[in-house]
Amino acid sequence: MADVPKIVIRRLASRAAQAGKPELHPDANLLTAFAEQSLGSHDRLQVLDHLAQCFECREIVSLAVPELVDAKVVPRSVSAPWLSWPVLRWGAAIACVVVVGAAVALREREAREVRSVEKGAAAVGALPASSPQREAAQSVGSSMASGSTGNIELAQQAPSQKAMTTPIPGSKAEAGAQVEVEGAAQAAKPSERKAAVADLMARAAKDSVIPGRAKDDLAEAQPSSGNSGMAGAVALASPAALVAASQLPRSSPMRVPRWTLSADGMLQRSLDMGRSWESITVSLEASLRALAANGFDIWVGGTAGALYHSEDAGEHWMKVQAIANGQPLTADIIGVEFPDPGHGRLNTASGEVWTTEDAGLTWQRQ
Amino acid sequence: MPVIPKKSAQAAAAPHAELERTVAELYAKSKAESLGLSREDFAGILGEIAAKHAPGASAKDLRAFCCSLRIEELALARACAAGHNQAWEAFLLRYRVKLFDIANYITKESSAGRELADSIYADLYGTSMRDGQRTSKLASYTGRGSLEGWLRTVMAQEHVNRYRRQRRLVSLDEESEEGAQFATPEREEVAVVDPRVEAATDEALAALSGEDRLVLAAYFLDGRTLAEIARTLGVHESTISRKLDKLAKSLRKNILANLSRRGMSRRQAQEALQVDVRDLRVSIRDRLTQENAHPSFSEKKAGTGEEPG
Repeated sequence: MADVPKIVIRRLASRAAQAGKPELHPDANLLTAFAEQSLGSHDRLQVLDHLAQCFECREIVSLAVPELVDAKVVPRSVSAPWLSWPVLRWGAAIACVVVVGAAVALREREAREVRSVEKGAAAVGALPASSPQREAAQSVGSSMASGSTGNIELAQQAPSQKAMTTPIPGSKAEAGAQVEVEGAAQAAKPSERKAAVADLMARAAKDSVIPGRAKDDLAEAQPSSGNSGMAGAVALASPAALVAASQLPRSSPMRVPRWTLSADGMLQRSLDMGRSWESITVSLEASLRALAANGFDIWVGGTAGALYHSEDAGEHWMKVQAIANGQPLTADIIGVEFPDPGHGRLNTASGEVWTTEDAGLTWQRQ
Repeated sequence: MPVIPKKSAQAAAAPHAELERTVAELYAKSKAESLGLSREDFAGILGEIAAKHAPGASAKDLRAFCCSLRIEELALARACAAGHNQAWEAFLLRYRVKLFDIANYITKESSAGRELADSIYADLYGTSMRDGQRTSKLASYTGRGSLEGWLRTVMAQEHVNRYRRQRRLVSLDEESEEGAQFATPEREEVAVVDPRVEAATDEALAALSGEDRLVLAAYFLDGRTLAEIARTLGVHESTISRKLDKLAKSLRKNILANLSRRGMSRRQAQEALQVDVRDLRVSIRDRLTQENAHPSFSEKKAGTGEEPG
């Protein structure tokens, strides 16, 4: 700012002193109107002239001007707070668009996967029966077909398995418990069970268009030391093995199957998030009433104490006979709870409660 | 009884009817009836204000003037001044807290603010008597600005008056505590200035507008900031900054031109301006210690003799 000559300031002060105090002052109404910029031009000029020579009125006006006026008059570009209503409204709108877009994209992707799986199945079926490619595809153990074709195959597998009752060697004799295992002989082999799990994973995997990937997962899932026979079955039923098995799907893109019981006591499974269901024949005699699923570990209970257990997402089943103090469970099972693979609880129609703390090896009746 | 020609009687009745309609509209708008003011009282108040601020105005101008007033606040203030309880209840509900806020803002101190607010409240209620009647300060509100703004101004006036009175009544002990007795007497600077320079400067200053002189006085004499001046004039402070810059340049130029007209060469004139380099001490505060306040424009005109700020 350029300096005003000192003589100007001196003469300003001198003029003010010589003029003395003006005899007439604008009243409060005029000063208020001046401060609020509501005076007419004539009155405003009068007040300005007066203020130029009256220190006292300048002081009064300065005190009387509210700070609010300052905020109103000064056109300052104040940035709106980021969490204001317009921002929230637009944010909500954008969030809605993103959610809808994501849902549509997900649905599209799933539909594409289903189509690719169907194409794969058709391709396998179109191969000559003796062709090496078809053998390779069958050796993977996974029928790439989905939907009704797969359902029929699964439904036909389970009843074809012959029942086999095998007493568990002595270790649990002091508890007076016995476990009867019913199932196919190959179900006792952990490697085959895990192969079945991997097979299931391959069927349900999103990336099922690359069969080799399922095979790689299968190879990685193979344990280095193989167990055999009943020891293997017990080992697989142990909590550690169950945990290991339950970790399998976590490292793979497979979805955990969904389960339900039909009104006529049939177990049903869905590998595509409930869009389609396949019936799993667990027992021809019993009608199933309750189930408990924990990852790939599933328990189902039904009439006349029927209790079945699968550790490979329903590919293979073991019949478990719960016995406590030499008394087998014969009542209808109406409730099955397995909060973790080792601990379970059964509720019967007769009001009995059966519990296990070792994945069904021994039972206690309460 | 004089006989008025029919035509001129109609002409005289027309503005009167216009005013009647204006009064009726404003009376309804002001809600004065609910505050206890009759229509006659209200018309009297409007007439008094119009006579004071718009004397001799035409009917059209008078209507425009009346419509420009803060009519609702005017009715409230005058109803309070007339002592109507419902008006006081409305006033206190609306302005009681504001009174204390304004007082605190002006005094910058809570106890002084409360004292100022109490004092103003007493004046508003009317503790002084005139002709056996209680006179309220609210009776002087004319509605030309907002009632809240008027309260601010009235409180600012009272604050300045108090400051003056306190300065006058300050004790010798306080003066000595402030070191007044040890203060070296200020030496009056003997300014030897060419009278032509003074005359040229006075001429240049006289040519300025009131607003320009106000800006110069507020900035150089009062020591106000650009923001304070801008707030007073309702402009941005950058406008004041530019104005001061422009004023400094134009003043220098005009003074030099005036000096040239008074027979100085350009070099002499420039030297005359540069010679005066002494700092000027202007005791602004001393000017506050005035004995009496002076009547306002309108009050003087109205001849009421009431004490202004």
